[in-house]
Amino acid sequence: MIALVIIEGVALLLLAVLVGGLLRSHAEILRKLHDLGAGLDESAGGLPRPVAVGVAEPRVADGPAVDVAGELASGGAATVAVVGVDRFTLLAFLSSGCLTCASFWEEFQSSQDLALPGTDTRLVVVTKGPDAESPAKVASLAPAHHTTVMSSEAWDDYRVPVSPYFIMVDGTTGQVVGEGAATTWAQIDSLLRQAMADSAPDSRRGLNGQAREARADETLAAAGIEAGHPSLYPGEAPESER
Amino acid sequence: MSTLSYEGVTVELPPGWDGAIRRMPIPARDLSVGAEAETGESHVVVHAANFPLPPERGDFGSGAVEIMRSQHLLMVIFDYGPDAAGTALFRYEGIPVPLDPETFDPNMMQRPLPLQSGLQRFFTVNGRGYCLYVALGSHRNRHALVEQANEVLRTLDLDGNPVDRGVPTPP
Repeated sequence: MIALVIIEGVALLLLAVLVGGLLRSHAEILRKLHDLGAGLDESAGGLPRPVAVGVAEPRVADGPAVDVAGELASGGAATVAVVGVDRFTLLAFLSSGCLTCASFWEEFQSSQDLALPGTDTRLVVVTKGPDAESPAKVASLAPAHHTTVMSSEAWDDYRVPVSPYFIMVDGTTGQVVGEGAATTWAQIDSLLRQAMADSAPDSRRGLNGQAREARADETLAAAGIEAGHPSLYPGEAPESER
Repeated sequence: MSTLSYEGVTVELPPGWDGAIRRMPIPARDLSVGAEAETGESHVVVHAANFPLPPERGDFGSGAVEIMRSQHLLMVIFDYGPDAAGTALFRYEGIPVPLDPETFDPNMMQRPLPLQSGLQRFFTVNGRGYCLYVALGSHRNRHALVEQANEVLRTLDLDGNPVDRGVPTPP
């Protein structure tokens, strides 16, 4: 009888230790989720929701950038070159339903000549794919003068933590040179200009891509060398003689 | 290379290229039966370019060719549908590749622009008529640019019919 009581006591003690461990583990998981911004009262199913604002924490390890491929809100498929090009690309990861994103949608819709950081920078708006966004809603928000692509894959590839979120890619090196989140375009503009200034070598500051080409054209034109000038094609007959 | 695929059309794009495949409604003026809303007819349009494609552009590249620089090229594949297949204009069977740089002509541009040149080829694949339109940012650079166009065209697959690698006949 005494042996039975002892065995039962040991079993209870072990169970108590086990339950304590489980509770501790559960509390640790909840704490980590809380740190990541996932509340228990959020709607399930990936529905759009307001997100915390402010500059996001830098990611620990940035992988190389990739091109963006996905669907068009108006119907169709598209791929946008981000790497292997002589320009910067600003990827604006927006949601159709997040409150903070609304000001950016409006800014991009109303500004055909948006002042982007860099000289030849291209703005590409990226929403999640039709599995998480309404194409009709995105089509109604998409700016006419800037490309919009629906791609959940791009969100995964760039490990976008929140929306709105902005990532600047140097197409020449294929690397992310700046990223962050903010509530206004002015904040993002300042953040990215600083990131670009910090990352660019001296030879690339100020001019890139078409701007460099335009500057070369201007210099040649000032010297009297226009398109078709024989000196540009040594050993070839002039265009008019072909 | 990135793969662009939609509505049975697949094409491989080299690094640095933009591409889009869209199904566009046929404008009412092109229909003998009335407004597009009554027919629901549409066609597939493929755009591929070695420069950033503007989001607002016409089927044959208006809005895009105007911003092309000398090293740029734009390719358009326009699906005219089954009614066009086999007609005199579309009698060439298969995707016409390789293109010959010497067949490009500044007067072949949908809208002639200084220094640019273009080419149109009409053909039939799997019972559907298509038009291939290629615009070059500089006629002078046609050899290098057409080489790029041919590289992309060789990867084109229309409705399960990959490119015909035979020698094209003039349409």
